[in-house]
Amino acid sequence: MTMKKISVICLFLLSLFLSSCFEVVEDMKVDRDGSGSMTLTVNLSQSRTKLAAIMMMDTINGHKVPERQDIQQEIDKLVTRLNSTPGISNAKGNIDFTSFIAVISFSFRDVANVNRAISNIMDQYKVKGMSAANYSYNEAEGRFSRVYKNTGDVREQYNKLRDRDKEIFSSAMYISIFRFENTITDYSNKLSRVARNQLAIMQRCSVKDLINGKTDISNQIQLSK
Amino acid sequence: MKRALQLVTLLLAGYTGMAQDLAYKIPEKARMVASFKAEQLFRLYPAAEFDTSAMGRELLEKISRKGPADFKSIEDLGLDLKGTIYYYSQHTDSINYDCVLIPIKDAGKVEKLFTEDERAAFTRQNGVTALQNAVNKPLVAWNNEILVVTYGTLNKYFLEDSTNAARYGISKADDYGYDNVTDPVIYTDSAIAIADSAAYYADSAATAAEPLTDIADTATQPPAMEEMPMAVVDSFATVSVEGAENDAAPPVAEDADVPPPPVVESYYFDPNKEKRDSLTKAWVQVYTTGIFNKPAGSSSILANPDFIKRSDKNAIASFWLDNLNSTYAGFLPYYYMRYGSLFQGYGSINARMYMNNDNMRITGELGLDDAKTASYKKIYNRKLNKKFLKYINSDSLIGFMSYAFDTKAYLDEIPRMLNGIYGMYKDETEIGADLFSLLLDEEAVAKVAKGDALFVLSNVSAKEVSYHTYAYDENYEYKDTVKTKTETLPDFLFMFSSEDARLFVKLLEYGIKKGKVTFAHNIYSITSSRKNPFNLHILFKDGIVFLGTSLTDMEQISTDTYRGNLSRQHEELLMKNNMTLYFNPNHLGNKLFEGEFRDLGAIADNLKGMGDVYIKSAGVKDNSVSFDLVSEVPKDKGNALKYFIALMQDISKLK
Repeated sequence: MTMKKISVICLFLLSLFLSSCFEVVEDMKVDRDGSGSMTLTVNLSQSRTKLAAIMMMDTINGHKVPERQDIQQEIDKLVTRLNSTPGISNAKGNIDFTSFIAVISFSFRDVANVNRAISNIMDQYKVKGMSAANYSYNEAEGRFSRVYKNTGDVREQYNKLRDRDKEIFSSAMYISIFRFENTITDYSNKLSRVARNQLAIMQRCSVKDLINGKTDISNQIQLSK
Repeated sequence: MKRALQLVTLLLAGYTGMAQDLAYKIPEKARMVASFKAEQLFRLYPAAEFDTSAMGRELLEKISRKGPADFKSIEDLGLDLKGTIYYYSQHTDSINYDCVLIPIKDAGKVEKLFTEDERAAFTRQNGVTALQNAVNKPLVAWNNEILVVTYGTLNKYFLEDSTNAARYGISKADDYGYDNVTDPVIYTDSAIAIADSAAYYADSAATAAEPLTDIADTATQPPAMEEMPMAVVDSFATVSVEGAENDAAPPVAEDADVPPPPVVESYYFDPNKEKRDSLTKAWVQVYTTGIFNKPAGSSSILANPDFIKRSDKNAIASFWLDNLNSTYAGFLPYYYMRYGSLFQGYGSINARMYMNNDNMRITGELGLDDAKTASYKKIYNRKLNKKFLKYINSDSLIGFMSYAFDTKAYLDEIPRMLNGIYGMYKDETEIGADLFSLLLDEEAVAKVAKGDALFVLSNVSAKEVSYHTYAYDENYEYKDTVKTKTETLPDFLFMFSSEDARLFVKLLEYGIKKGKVTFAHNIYSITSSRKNPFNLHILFKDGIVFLGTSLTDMEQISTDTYRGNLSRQHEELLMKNNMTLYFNPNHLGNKLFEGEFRDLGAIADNLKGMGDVYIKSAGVKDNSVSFDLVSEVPKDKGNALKYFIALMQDISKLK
């Protein structure tokens, strides 16, 4: 009985015992002229013990476990792709394999450029249907909007997952923050909350509800002139 | 539920019985045989009880939906109630056959299992009804006593030989996409195969029986079927496939009336594939005819002493594989065999399953030749270190795994065990093995790790772990914050004997210098990190290396205050065997339920309702390595069969 066998047993037990949990944070800052920056964070820190165990295994639930360098390479590819997207600049990507937090950030010349950038991210990670989100900003009227339409593709893909894979999404959270230079005077999505200084608006929901179309994250935000 | 139904269907097939056991139908050179004794299965789960169970009703409804009849009982299926069902596999150099033999009580009832369309396609000849085998489907045929399912798989390497390919009208030797093989070894073997087959045809011409269908009339006999001389067609012809050169064709009766070629399926794009499928189909039909005509008392598996030795009438199911090495070789082309065989020296593999009110037991053996037996005897000549037993607490442990072999003997035996494995590289392997021995000080290595080890999964406990998240202020600016949460982690203790732990100590001292390891009260500690999700503690004491997750346990071991409590059952299991694996689902279920798994009560309930499971191997005896797997049945579950069916139903509900 080698040490390797022992550690494989321990890792397998860990992957069985530990629950999964993660949060996705979308933080977008829009300047008056429609330019701005965006940071997307996937924080898997709550599952780090399990992930550390999984990362040392070859497969989990029948899926191949990627190597660290493979994950890093994917992020590097995404950054390159984003930097070559029209209107997108200063793209950066980083993953912390100790806390298991991945961060992608970039600047945009116009809010409309973000649509293509998000579409590239979804393509890179082979997520279908999420590209239905559309960001727009009318500088003259001071109106920002995000229109999200759940096409059912994501739900369909989710439903195809095995129960033990679905469990990963059971307590995952999605947090969206939009920040502006002007104050927010009105907004259409009443599930979101405006910050005390009225310069930011946040919405929290479960990833599972987002997938199943139970939560709407579309929002029309009117800014002061 | 689906899995449970599959099991029941399998068992149902064995719910048969007839005056004569069907083993005599199995050829002497069968490579693999499996059997199920229906009478014993239904003694544990009576038919009347099964008919009214949820699973029984569902199964009968499912069968009823398929055919014209409304089945109310498994007895209505026409299968005999007290027999044994057999599966066997026979390999020739040209085709591999997989067959299932099921005894029948009422052929009329059996026919009702088929749909109207299938019944319309039945062919009847000499008391045998057959459902024409479509391409890549098995042939199903039966008479009043037996139902036979035959599946044929053409040996792809057989037709890679250009002589064989030409003989059957296959135009390309590399038809399967493999490289043309020109090694003379192949031609030699193929020539032998052809000679064998020619001899077979000559023999078989003496006794004739009609094949199942007209197509079989057109088929040549497959080679190497010498065991079934009764399986002969009326008039031999080569396979009637267009383009066949027939240079090496077997003898053909002068008055052979060669009918048209086999039916051409419209979807064929590759004419060679069509020819191969025709060949397979025809051979399967001839072979199946042979099974029906094979008389009791003819040469059969019952003449194989190893098969007889390994059989046990009390086993509810059994499995027997003729020879591990030849089975492995059977999957490779001749060409590769010159490189040697990985399993040289290993013989038959067999296993038998027993079920009763207390447990389900699977016992088996892997046969070894004399050289392997001698090697393994030396390697297994070690008992587990008895001092390990002080550190086991039977009342609460979840499981353990132990292993005891002699490191020095193992290292000494490696060169001997490698001999022969690498065939044409035998000389090079011997030199490599000698170098290995020269470079390695077997005795020194054996002092570092003597070869016995015990891994104890002692507990699962709640541990506080930190994680990063974000705290948002009133303006939604956020900062990274560290929070803690409770996770259930397994506690384990791993022990192995070592007379010389200096290497480990040096490594740990190096770790201390690098700030990765701490040392206090004789215990080295490594805190959890990205690469190691556990806090690990290491202790050297009494010639044992301890590696564990519980600092308290380590401190108690270090100060001789650890209080173990080993049951007699666990002690016997550990000390009488060279390898053990033990799992107590009940203990795990109780602990999970207390932890973060309280929402998954169904899993915990299932675990709590399960009996202990263990696997053990006592090493080498009578030229074989034996193993036993025992799954105990909880008191309130009736018997092993009812328990496992209920367990599968419960598990399927979790999905």
